[in-house]
Parts: sequence; C-alpha cells; structure tokens
Amino acid sequence: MPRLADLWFRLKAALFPGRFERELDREIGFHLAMQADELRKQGLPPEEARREAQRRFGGLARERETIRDAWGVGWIADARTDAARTLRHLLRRPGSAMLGIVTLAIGIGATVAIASVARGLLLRPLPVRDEAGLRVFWSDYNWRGVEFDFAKERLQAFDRLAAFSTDLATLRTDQGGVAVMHGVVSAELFDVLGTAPQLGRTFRAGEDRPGAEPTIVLSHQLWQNELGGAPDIVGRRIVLGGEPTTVIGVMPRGFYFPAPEFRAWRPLMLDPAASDYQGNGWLVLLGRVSRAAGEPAVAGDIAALAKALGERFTYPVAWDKTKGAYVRTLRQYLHGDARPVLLLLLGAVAMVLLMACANTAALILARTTDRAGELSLRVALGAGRGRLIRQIVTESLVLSSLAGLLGATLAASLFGVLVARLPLGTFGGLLRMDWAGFLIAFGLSIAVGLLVAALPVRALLQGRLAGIAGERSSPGLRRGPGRAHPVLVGVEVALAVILATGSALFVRSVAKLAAIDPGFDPTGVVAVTLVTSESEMPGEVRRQLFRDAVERAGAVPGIVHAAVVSRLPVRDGGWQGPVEIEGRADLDGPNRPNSLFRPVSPAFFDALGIAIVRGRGFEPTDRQGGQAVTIVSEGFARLAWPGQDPIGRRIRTGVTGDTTWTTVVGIAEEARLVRLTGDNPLVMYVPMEQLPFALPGVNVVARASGDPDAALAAITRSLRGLDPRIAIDRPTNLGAAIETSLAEPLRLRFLLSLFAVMAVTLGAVGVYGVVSYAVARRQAEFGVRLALGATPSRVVAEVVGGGMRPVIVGALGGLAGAALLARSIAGFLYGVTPADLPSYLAATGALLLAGLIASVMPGWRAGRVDPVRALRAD
Amino acid sequence: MGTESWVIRGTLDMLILKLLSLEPMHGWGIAERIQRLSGDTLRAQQGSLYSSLHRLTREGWIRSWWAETENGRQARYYELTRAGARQLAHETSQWERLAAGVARVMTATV
Repeated sequence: MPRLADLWFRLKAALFPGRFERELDREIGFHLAMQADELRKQGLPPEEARREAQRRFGGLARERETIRDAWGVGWIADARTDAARTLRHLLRRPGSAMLGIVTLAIGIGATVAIASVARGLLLRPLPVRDEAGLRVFWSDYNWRGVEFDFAKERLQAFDRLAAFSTDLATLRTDQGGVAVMHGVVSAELFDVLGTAPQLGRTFRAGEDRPGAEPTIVLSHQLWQNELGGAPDIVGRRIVLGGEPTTVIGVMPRGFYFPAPEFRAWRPLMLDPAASDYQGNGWLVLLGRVSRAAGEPAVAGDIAALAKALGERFTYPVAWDKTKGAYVRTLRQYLHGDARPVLLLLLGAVAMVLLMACANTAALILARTTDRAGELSLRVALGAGRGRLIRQIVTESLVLSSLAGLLGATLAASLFGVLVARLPLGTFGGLLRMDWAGFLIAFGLSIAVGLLVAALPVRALLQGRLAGIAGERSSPGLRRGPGRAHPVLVGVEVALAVILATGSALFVRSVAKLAAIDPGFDPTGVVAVTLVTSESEMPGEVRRQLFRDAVERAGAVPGIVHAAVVSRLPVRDGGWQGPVEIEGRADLDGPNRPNSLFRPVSPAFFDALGIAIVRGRGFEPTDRQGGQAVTIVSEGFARLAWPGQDPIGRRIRTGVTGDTTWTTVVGIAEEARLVRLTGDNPLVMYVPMEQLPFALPGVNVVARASGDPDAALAAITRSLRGLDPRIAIDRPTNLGAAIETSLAEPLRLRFLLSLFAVMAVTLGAVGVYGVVSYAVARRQAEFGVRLALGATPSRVVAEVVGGGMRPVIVGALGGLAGAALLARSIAGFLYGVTPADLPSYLAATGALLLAGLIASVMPGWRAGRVDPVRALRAD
Repeated sequence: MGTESWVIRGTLDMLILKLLSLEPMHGWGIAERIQRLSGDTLRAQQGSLYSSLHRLTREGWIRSWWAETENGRQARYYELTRAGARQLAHETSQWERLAAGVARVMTATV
C-alpha cells in the first residue's frame, strides 16, 4: 500500500503545487515563530530574535528546495524545465527542428485522415442488425421476379430472401416537385435487414403483390426535410410519381439502404401476370443466412440454386446465371470498390509516417550530438544518465506533440479533401472526423516521440554519444558514428523508392487513360434528369413534355444542340439485353449478343459529338407509324455483318415488349457510353418517338457553347416551369462526370504523387541531415587532413561517397520492394504493367539525384573546413 | 556549537519515527526533542528535518494534520501510521545490528 500512497502523494503535489507551497510556508513560519519565542525568552529583543531565528534556519531558499525534493515531483519540474528549454531552442533556431516537426506533422496528419476514412468505411457498422449474416447474390440488378420466387423456395441455408431495385420519382410537396431516389423492395426487405422503423411499421407480406394499396416507408431525412417532420405523418397520403401513396412508417435517423441517397422505400409489384415478372431482370437479391448454417451450407445452397436455375430457365451466354454464382456480404457489396483503394493509401501513408519518424529520429540524434558539450558538462556536474535520458525523451515528446497538434489540424482538412476525392459516392456524407481521429493523432505523436527518443537514448546508454564518452577530446580520429544513421538513411531511401515507383506507375497509367478517346466530346455537354409523375400523366402527355423540354432547352441562350436520352453516357452505366440479328442463325438462341439499348431524340448525336460514319442520323420524321429504324455502333456492325454493308439490315429485341424488326439506317462512331476502359459493349440507338410507350423520365442533354455551369443553371430554371407535376434533378456537367469516372486512378495519382513528392523530399532531408551531421562531427579530422595536405576535392569525394553508400543500398532494396509490391496494385493500372521499367528508373533516378544533392551540399562544406578553426574548436 | 553534531544522514528518519511513536508532534517539537533527548549532542538541520517529514509522509509512514498549539498558533502535527510502526521496528533492528557491528570493530584488540 505505501507504493500507492506514494504515487497519490506525488500526484497531489504535482497537481496542486500551490497548496503544497502554502502549507510549507505556514509550517516554516510556525517553526521560525517558535524559535523566535524561545530566543526572546532568553532575553533577545523581538526584532533580533526574529533575525536570529531566520539565521539558524539556514538559507531559506535552499532549505525549501531540499524539502521540495522530498515531494518526489522533481521529474515533473525537470520536465517543465526541459520542455521550456526545448521551446526556447526551437524559437531561437527553428530551422532544423521545424523541418522535423513539419515532416512528422504531415506523416501524422495524413495517417490520421486516411485512417479515419478507413475506420468510417471499413469498420463503422451498417445500419442493420447483425450485418455479418447478410449476403447479396451475384448478378446485380439482373434478377427477374420469377427467379426471385423460384429461389425463395429453394434456399435452405437462408432464413429469408428479399429483392430490391431502385427508382427515381417525383414527390409532390408544397414547394413543388422533388426528385426522390428510392428503393423498390420486396415485402421481406426490412425483416431481412432487421431494422425497425422509428414510426409506424414496415411492409407486410402481400404488400408487394397485385391488389395491394400503394404504401411507402420514408427515411428520417425525407420526412424532416421535405415533409416538415409532421408527427402525424403515418397514415397520411403523399403523391409519389403522381400516385397517392399511404405513408406507413418512418425509418430511424441514420438508416440508409442501399446507399444514403435513397430516401424512401416502396414495395415491388411482383405480378406473375405482368410482362416484367418474366421479362428482363432488374432486381438485386439479398438474403439472411440462418444462424445454424455455416459457410459450406451457404456455398452448397448457392451451387444448388445455380444448377436449378439452369434447369428451369435458359440464359443467353453473356449473362448466364448458372456461371460464377457467389454471394458477398452486404459490406463487400456496398463498399467493395473503396476497400482496396483505402488499404493501398493506408500502406502508402504508413510508409510516409515511417520516413518522417526516421527523419525526426536522425534529427534528434543530431541535435543531441550538437549539444554534446552541454551534455558532458552536465554529466560532469553530476547529472545522472537517467536525468539526461529524461531530458531527451521530454525534448522528443515536446517536438512530437507539436507535430501531433499540427498533424491533427492537418488531418482535419486532409480528411475533407479525401472524402471529396475518394470514390465513396454518397457514403462520403456519412463520414465524420470524430474525437477518435484526434485521439489517434495524439497517441500517434506520443508513440512517435518515444520511438524517436529511443535511438539517442540507446546511444547515450552505450556511451556512443559524441562528447559524453570523451570522444570529443580525441577529435575525430575515430570513424564509425555507429550504425544507426546509415541504416536510417537506407530504410528511408528504400521506402521513398517504393512510393515513388508506385506513384510513377499511376502517373503513367493516367497519362494512358487520358489519351483514351471516348468517341464523343464531353466538354461543354450538360444534362439534367426530368422525372414525370407517371400515373397522372398519360404516355402522350409525357411524350409531348419531352418534346417541349428539348425545345425549351434548345432555346436557352448559349445552347447549341439539345436532345433527350434514356441514360446519360458514362455517369449512368447501363443495362444490356440480347438482340436478334436477321439472317444470323449462328447468333441466335443462347448466342444472341447483348447490346445497350438507347432511345434518343435526333439531336443526341450532335449534342454529344458522336459522328454518324455511315448512312443517316435520326430525323424528326422517324415517328410511330413510320418505318422502325435503328442506328448501331461500329462494333455492333462489325460483329453482326462483318465486311458487309449494314445499312438496310434488320434487328429486333424484346426489350420493349415490341417484336417488330427495326431497320439499320446508320452507323454511329464507336462511343464509350458505359465505361472508358475495358471492352466496349455493342450499342443500338432507337428514336425515342418510336418507343411503343413513353419513358417515365428522361435525361435532357445539351451542348453549351459557353460556361457549362451557367448553361446548366439556365436549363434547370427553364425546365422547372414546364409542368408542376415534374421534378428536375441531378444537374450534370458531363465533362466533370467523365473526370469522375476516370476519377479513381486520377485521385489515386493525385494522392500518390503527393506521397511520392513527400517521400523524395523526406529522403533528401534525411540524407542531408545525416551527412551534415557526419561532416560536423568530423570537422576536426577534415581540418587535420587538409592541414596535412589532403586536397579539398578528395575530402568532398569521401564525404559524398560516404553519404551515397546507404542511399545506393537503400535504393536497391527499394527497387526490390517496389517490384514485389507493384503486383498488388496491378488492378489499378491501365496500359502499364507492374514491371514498367521507366517507372522504376524514374523513381530510382529521382532518389539517387536527391541523395547526391543532399550529400554534395555538406560535402562542399567539408572541403572548405578551416584547419586552424576546426582544431581550436576543441 | 562546540560538542553539538548534526544528525547523521539516514538516521534522522529513524529518530523521527521513534519520536512520533511516543506521541504526535509538530516539526519544531521534534527538533527540540532530538536536541533535548540527545543531551544537546544531536541537532537536526531544519531543511533536512522537514524534508524527512515530507518524505515519510509520502512513503505513507506518517500522516499530518493542522491543529492549534497551546499558545494559539497553527501547527502541522505528525503521527505514526501502522505502516510507519512496522518501518520503525524494521529500522530499529537494522540500527541495533549496525551499532553492535560498529561496536565490535571499535573494541577489537588484535
């Protein structure tokens, strides 16, 4: 127990020094008063008695100091002194220390920011019960109602199965139409997710079947922001897509599915009599694994389902559901893309942090050596090693805490940049830089401070710190400053080479990506999505609305061409369906090729800048009742009619439920409508006017001659006035959207380039610091040798050679490391192999050059050492 | 000062513990008592006395409180704790062994 009491006492003394001092004053005062009383009794006059009492007590200040020592808080006072000294040094000679602080702050800041994003995305629980039990089936947005019902009956390892899709519809509010992205879900979905509503209820069995009343579940956000947060919302009717729909529940705040931008959920309509039940798939399947079932049971279930599907249905080759059947966890499904990117960045940032640590360690070591004189003086005056070690640790902690403070600030701003620049979609909005991030920053800086102090402390313990072991008295005749420095430099250079190589690979990848011709000119192309209220607006009304929209958009000043299209290139991706080609029996049945299907208005090709390379474009005369026409992409023509004239050939699809043959009237330039990389799908364009039905919504696209953003605002304003029953949303600058699709490599290039620049700089700083340190230590030796007739150039060569040795070794190690690690980033590269020689050469060259410059500068100083002054300095 | 000598460093703690085992007292009282009981041969340096008192408090062997003396002054009184009593026993036996050893050496004849 005394131990604990001891600690308690010290703690009190450290925390309340004022109280302890006051009590000591009173205690001494009492003693002096008693002494004076006694002296007075012996006959001394009061004034003299008081002075004599003081005299007998001894030097007050010194005695007090002795007493204070007994409080056992000396180390705290020492720490305060050391910290103050460090800060004074820092203010007096900020150069090298600031360099260390800033590099460390960058390392800490970057690590914390990326770790916070990673933590939020990879570890933050999804808003569902027991997310580990949820599995998403293969083939996204590709399951049909009939397959869903078929699968439901056959799965044993799953408790429940749900299906969902997504949609965009207009919600009528007091302020006008609002476009609402929402989930379209089977009745089981909320049971499968296991999340209870905040108000009301979720869907009941049968509410997704024919005859059910239209119902909807709202997100907390939609309820609050668009519907005023009315407490009696449950049971009220809202108008969604023109249809009066009863609100049955509100989900709790923070709930989202499948992504934060989906703000409501309405039931699917699974009607075996409806054409889309049997037709093309549009659903995602999500199941909850039963508690009893293990992974093998799940895998067995999935394999059996794939087989059963193959027996029951026939699939075209291109999307054969019996192949590649697998299930993913919900988290993999939602965040799958971001995970490897984050892990990559975490790895890179860890390397930067390591380098910053190495630099700071070298810096502190050098500073300690710089003050060898002061330290040896203090040893001579009786300061113990323990005291010196405490000083080094305090100093290191002060520097690293400053770096941690700066790093936390940096992390907060870097976090914002990361969230904006990483491919997180709307999930970025869920991420917050919370107290944990700052805690990590602080903890990290303390850990780094201790780590960094370890090196000089070790040197001190081994008596290798110059000066303390008396080295300085036999100036510089010994070589070998210990192994720590060259090893630090070597490791730093190796890490820098790895980072620089990775970055070079990305830079070259992006250069190749940027050279891709998307087949259209996205610059200046703007688009908005127009959503109608389907059930209130009959097909003919919608058709007319789309015509009016094209006209209005075209009338906006600065707009050159305006058109409508079902889906926007690149941003929207797209669904593909099988096409039957007349006269190609070999491409029939399961061998039918898949093609994108794009209803467009005539000006689409001009608006996007897609050339018609053969035949004609669409004309306003291509309407219903006329000849059904189509324009196909060059790739389509090559596959269907190799070496022949495609014009006049006929194709058909079942997509629209219309099976009339359409005649090819033109060939469009190959345009990348879905993704900029990889195989380009076939495309068939049809006139929107010839669709047998009107779409519920379209994208209005236009080419602006001036500022795209101004044009976008003008179009949005102009279209809003068309009809109160529509909503205008998702304003898109296509040039920017393309950049987004290039974004992943582009953003990675940005971040990794940043890291590479930091790595090369840190590497150079490290080499410079260490070589300067070695030169400073060997000043006397150089002085002697120059005095004895060594040429300055020889001294310079020796210093540079000594500095470059660890650089070269480190660079070779880094090359090997980079070659090993490059394979893991192969998936992010485009048009560049992981073994791309120029990248390796550039990275290694940069580091060698930086190392050379960093060694030549102090080497130059070494060659100009004045022998007389160098020797006198000791 | 003549025959007075300063208390040997290290034995002061033991003397304090011993005195406090008799009754609680304040710093001045301890100093007085050491001087008087040792027949004016021992005298504690004031700084070391209070330093010892504070260190012993820290160790948990004595504890202190403020109280009024008979002539109306506020003084800090110290008393022995149970751990302090154990420590005193320990130090006493150590001292006896040391003293006996020293005595044997000093009375050696060969």
